[in-house]
Amino acid sequence: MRLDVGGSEVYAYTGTRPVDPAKPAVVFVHGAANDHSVWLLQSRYFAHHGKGVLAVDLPGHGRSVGPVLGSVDAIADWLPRVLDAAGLAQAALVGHSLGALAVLACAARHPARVAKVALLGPAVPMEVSEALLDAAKANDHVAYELINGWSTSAGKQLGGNTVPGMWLLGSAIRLMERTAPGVLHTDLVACNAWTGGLEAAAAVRCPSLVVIGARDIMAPPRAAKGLVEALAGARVVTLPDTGHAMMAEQPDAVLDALRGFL
Amino acid sequence: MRGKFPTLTEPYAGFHDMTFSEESTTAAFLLRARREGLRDFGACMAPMTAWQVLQGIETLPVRMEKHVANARRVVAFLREHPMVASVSYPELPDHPDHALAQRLLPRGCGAVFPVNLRATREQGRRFIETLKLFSHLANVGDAKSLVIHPASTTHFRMSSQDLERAGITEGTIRLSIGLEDPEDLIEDLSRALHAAGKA
Repeated sequence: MRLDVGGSEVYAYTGTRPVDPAKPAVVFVHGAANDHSVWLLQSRYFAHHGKGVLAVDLPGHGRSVGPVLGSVDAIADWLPRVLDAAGLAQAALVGHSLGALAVLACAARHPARVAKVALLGPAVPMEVSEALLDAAKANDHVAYELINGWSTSAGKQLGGNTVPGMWLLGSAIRLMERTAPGVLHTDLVACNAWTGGLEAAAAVRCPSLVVIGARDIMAPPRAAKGLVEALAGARVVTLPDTGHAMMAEQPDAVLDALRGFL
Repeated sequence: MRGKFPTLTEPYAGFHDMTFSEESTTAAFLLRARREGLRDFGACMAPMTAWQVLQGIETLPVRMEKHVANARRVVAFLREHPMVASVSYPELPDHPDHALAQRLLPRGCGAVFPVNLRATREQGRRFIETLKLFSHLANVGDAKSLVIHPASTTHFRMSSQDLERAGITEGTIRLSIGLEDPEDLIEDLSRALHAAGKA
C-alpha cells in the first residue's frame, strides 16, 4: 500500500492483506540499501496469521520517494509518522541491521508507540570500515560486493538457498544495484555515526528480542553483547551457521524466532 | 513498469491477489513461475536428471561449434541442388532476418532450419523414407541428425491452402543437423533427393 507521510509517498508491503487497525500491527524495517522484499516470508506469514503488516520501504529506497533519512534517530522519528499515516496507535517493530538500530531508537524515543521490538543482526556500535565507506561514497560496485560477501555466510555464497535455483548472493547484490547513487553511503554513515545504542537499549521498556547470526561478520555476535546486556530481559536467539543476511539464509529459523515473540 | 508486464505488476487472483513485482524486487518472474507454474504442473527435476543436464551443458559449446559447422556444409550443398527451391537459414544473405542474426548470432545460427523442396506431398514422403542416417523425429537439437516432413506428419490434416497460409509448402522439410561426418549427411540427402525426384 502507499502511505502519505508528511507529503511524501511511502510504499509498504502488506502481505496482500489490508491492514486492519483492530489487529496487532507489525512494522518491518529493512537495512542499508535494501527494501521491503528482504522480509518476504516473514512479512507475508504474519499478514496471513492475525497481524496487520507494514514492511516499509524507507524513504529513497525501493518504491518510496526520497530523500534518504540520514540518521538512525531520523528513521526512529519517522516510524511513528508511518503509524499515524496507517491509522495505527502502536506496533511491534522488527528491524534488520540499520533497521534494527532504527527500531531500537524508536522504542527508546517513542515508547508509547512501540509494543515490542525485535532486533535482527544488530551491532552496537555498528562501525563501518573506511574502505567500505569510501567505496560506497564513490558509488563503486565493489561496495555492494563487499557488503553482500560479508553478509552471506561462507556456506551460502554459492548454493544453499532454501529456494532451489535462486542465488542468494547474486540476488542480494542485484537488490542493492537498484538503489540510487549515494543511498548506500548515506545509510552506512547513519550506522557508523550512531552512538546512542547502549543508552537507547537501557531506556527500552517493552519486550525485546535479539536475533544473532552465529557466523555474522558484518555485525558479529560479539558486537551485540553490550546491547543484550543493556536490554532488560531481552530474549536472545542465536542462529547457527547463519550470516548477516539471515532472512534470506534461514527464512524459516528467523520466522520461528519471530513467531515465538510477536 | 506498471502496465507493461501486467502478469507481474497486477494482482493475481490465482494466488491470493499477489502482485509478484511487489513481492520480489529482483525475481518477480521467477516467483510467478514457481508459485504458479511449478504448483500447477508439479514439475520437479530429479537429481539424476539435473546431473545429466549439467553434464550436457559442460560440453555444449564444443558441440554447438560442430552443429553449426555441419549445418553450414549441408546448407551449402542444398542451396546448389536442383530439387531445392529454397533454404531458410539466417546466415544466408537472402534470409529476412539476416542482419539481425549477424548481430545476435555472430558465431552461428544453430542447426535447425527448413528447406523447401520442389516436391509434392508424396515426393516429400519419399524423401523422408529414403533417408538412412537422418532419424524421422519431431524433436530437434539432437546429437544425431533429425528430419521431418510437416505435410505428411505433423500438419497432414491441413489442406494445401492452409499449409501455405502457415508458411509451409508440400515440399517443406525441417532438418536438425547433428554431429555426424558432414560428408555422410550430404550423401544421405543426395540419395534421398534423387529418390524423391523419381517418385
